[in-house]
Formats: sequence, structure tokens, C-alpha cells
Amino acid sequence: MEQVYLVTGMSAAQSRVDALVREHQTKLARYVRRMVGDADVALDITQDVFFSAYRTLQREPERPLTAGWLYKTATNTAISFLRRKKILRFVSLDREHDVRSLRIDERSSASIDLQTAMRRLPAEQAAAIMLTSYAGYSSQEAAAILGTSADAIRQRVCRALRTMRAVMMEPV
Amino acid sequence: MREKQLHKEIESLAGAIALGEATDADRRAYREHIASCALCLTELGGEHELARTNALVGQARDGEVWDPQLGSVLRRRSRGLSPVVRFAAAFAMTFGLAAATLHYFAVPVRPAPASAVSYIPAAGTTVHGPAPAAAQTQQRRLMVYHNVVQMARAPVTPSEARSAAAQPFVKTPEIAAVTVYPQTAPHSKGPAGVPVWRDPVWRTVARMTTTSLSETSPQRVSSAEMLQLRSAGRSLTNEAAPLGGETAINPQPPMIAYAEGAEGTTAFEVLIDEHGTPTKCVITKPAGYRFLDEAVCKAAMKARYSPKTLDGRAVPGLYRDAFTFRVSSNQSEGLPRPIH
Repeated sequence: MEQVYLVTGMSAAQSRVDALVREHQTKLARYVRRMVGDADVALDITQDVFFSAYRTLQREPERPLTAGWLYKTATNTAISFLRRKKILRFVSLDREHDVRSLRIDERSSASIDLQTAMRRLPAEQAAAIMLTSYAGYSSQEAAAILGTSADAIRQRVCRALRTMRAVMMEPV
Repeated sequence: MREKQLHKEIESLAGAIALGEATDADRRAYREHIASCALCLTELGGEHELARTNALVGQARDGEVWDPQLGSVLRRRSRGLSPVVRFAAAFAMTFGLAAATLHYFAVPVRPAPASAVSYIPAAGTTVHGPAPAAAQTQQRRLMVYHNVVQMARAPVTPSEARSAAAQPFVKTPEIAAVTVYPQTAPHSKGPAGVPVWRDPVWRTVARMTTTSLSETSPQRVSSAEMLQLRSAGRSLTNEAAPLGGETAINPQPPMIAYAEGAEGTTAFEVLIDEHGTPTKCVITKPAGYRFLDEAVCKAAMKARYSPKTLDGRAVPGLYRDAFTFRVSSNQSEGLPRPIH
């Protein structure tokens, strides 16, 4: 194994991070984009997540880094970003703002509705619904990622769905 | 205090049902609760409603195509991307979008099928070549091309193809389009020389012919075929469609559209409930003028629809369509011949 690294000029941590990037970058970036509602910020955060994975692997080479770890780091970064930007988020309440983060060929009504709902949700509820419905984790796994109980996750999902239903129902 | 506790429990039950993690006992408890709690029923809906709302997330996720490539993360370890990379990304994005848009508009005028050029007047541009005489009668029209993207795929009958091949410059733009225009010019002057803004008289000139190739066109299946399909065990789906054909949606832009010379393509989606009533209209691609979008949505909400059916059962569905608005400056340019 060592020889391989010598030949490619990469450390073990680097090659592991590269593999993580290749496998998870698209899903993770889309997930973060839904959370923060901005493609540029989502790219920045995704970069940061993979870079902190690299630093973690440098510190503790034996540590197994799973997709769950990546989602946890991404969610925490996104939540702290949202808290910092809270005032900005509530300034513009029209849908045109939500549309801007989506590519022109992604602007279906479901997509826009979800983005509008995401902007109205508190960060915890947004994280809960994204981890379960969007990223496909069960409520137990999402609870482990967010550090709460499965019941709390389900409750947040329910509240998020209530907001989403209101968004779907309202006329444009 | 106890009620608050109960409410939390119900919310967690509803969350479990939406995520598909609920047991039968959970579902029963939820049913019993909403039977007595009108507020929960209106805000959350029944079990299926919860699952349907939750499915929206999956729908939105499956529609995503954004595929960013981070490249080597470690090389760019500074916070965020460097300005150069940002510029390059923005440039690539713009270029990609421009290419996509070009493709979008280029589709209708693709000259591949022999007669397509004479069949479709190149999305409002001159088909006739120079029309010097007609240019003097400056009557502005707003032309609404119905669903340009679909028109590109309209099948051409062999006889049409032959005649078009024989006379490549024949001036019969028999296009599949709805054209709406005012019969009175908006710039007419009143008796005192004051411009009078009369309401235009709207007239549908040509009828949209739908093609069986288009994805959004309603599939009409005879009852015999339906029986066959049923017996073959295949599920039969009829998408939601406007009653009275494609011309049932008839957007009428306000006078300001003429004054502005507004042009553009509006793509929209209408949510149709199981009774065929439109519940919501969403602009998926704005034309660039808000009043054009509003006219389209207003018309779409006015029309009646046949609901989407799954195995003969009406379900809520979605109708997608697009309108292209073009302003033509003279009498004959690109004006389709009336069909009726």
C-alpha cells in the first residue's frame, strides 16, 4: 500500500478524502444547497466539509469516516450559516428568491415549493426533514446525526410537513 | 400540560407515518386523533395526505440535475473558492445556460425534417422573406405560439412533405399555433386627437394541432383498448389535460404588452385536483415580463381540465405547457392561415 502512495504522490489521508469526494460530492452539495438555498454557499460549505474530513484523517488516520459523518458536519455548518444569515433569510419573502438557487431546468413546482418551505422552516426542522425525506436516513439515524431522540426528529418532520403543506396550498 | 404532551405525541406519530416508520397501532392512534381534532385534520391531513406531502421532497430531489465537481479539495483549502475559480464557474454556468437556452429555442427551427421550415415560421421570424408592401400597414400584433417545443415534433403528413419538397418557398405557414391579436390597432386616435386605448378584440386564428409524440398531450384510449390493457395487467394512466383541447387555455395579455413589445416564452405547470379543477399555477420558466406570466396563469386557472386518471380512478395531477409570445409588426409576416 505504501508503495502506491509513493507512486501517486498522495498520502493515505489524501487518497481517502479523494475517494470520499468522488463518491459523495454531488449528493452532499445538493443537500447543502437545499439547506442554505444558495448554490455558491453550498459549494463553499461542501468544500469545507471535505477539508475538515482531511484534517480529521490526518489527526486520526484510523478513524472510519462514513457518509453519516459527512452529513453531520455539513448539517452543522449549514445550520450555523443559517443562524448567521437569519435576518437576511426573512427579508425577502417572495418566491423569486427561492428560484434563483435552482438551475433553470430544475424549476418544477415541487422543487420551488420545497425551496420556499425550506426558507420558512427553522434550521432544526429543515435539517430533520432533509436528513429523513431527502437524504433517506431513518429517524433513528437522523437522531444520531443531529444528537437528539428519534421522537424529536419525527416531531420536527411533522412540523416541517405542516409548513410544506401550507406552501403547496397557497396560490402563487 | 397534559394536552401539550398529547399534541407532541400526535406530531411524532404523524412524522412516523409520513416517513413510513409507523406501526399499525400508530396509524390507528393517528386516525382516532384526527377524527376528533379538526385542527390537525386541516393542517396535516390524513395518513395519505402526510405521505403525499412527504413525497414532494422526493419529487424535488429526483428532479435535481446540478452536478458540481469539486476537483481536488485540498488544493483549494482557503475559505471558499478563489475569485478566479468563481469567475470561471460563473462563466461556465452562464455559457452552459446560454447553450441550454439556445437549444431550447433552436429545437423548433431545426431544419432536419424536410418541410419543417415552411411548417413552422421559425418562432415568429420572417418566413416569407421580405414583405415590403405589407410593411407599411403597421398594425402590431401579439402572436401567441402555443407550445413551441411541442410544435417542433408535430408529425408532417407525407402529402405535406411532398408538396413542401416540390415548392420549397411556398408561402403557406400553416403552423400549429394559437394566434391571438387585436383587430383594432391600439394606437388609434380619438376625435380630439387624444390616443384612445381601446380594448382589443381577441380572435383565435389557428388551432393548435397536438401530436401523439408529445409527452404532455393527452392519451385518448378507446374503451376496447382500455379493457385490453386492463386484462394485460398494465396500469393505465391518463395525464391531466384541458377540456376542449389545447386551445382551451387562451392567454390574453394586457395592452401594455403591445406598448412594450413584450416577447418571451412562458412555461408553466398547473396542479389539477381529482375533480379537474386547477388548484395552482406555477411559472417554471418566466417570459421576462410579469404580465405575460400572469396572463398565462390567469388563463390556465380559468380553463377546465380532465383530471389525471390511474386505472380509471381520478387522482390529482399536473399539466405542463408553454406559450411563446411574439410581436409581429406587419400584416402577413408569420401570420398563420385560419384553419376554420
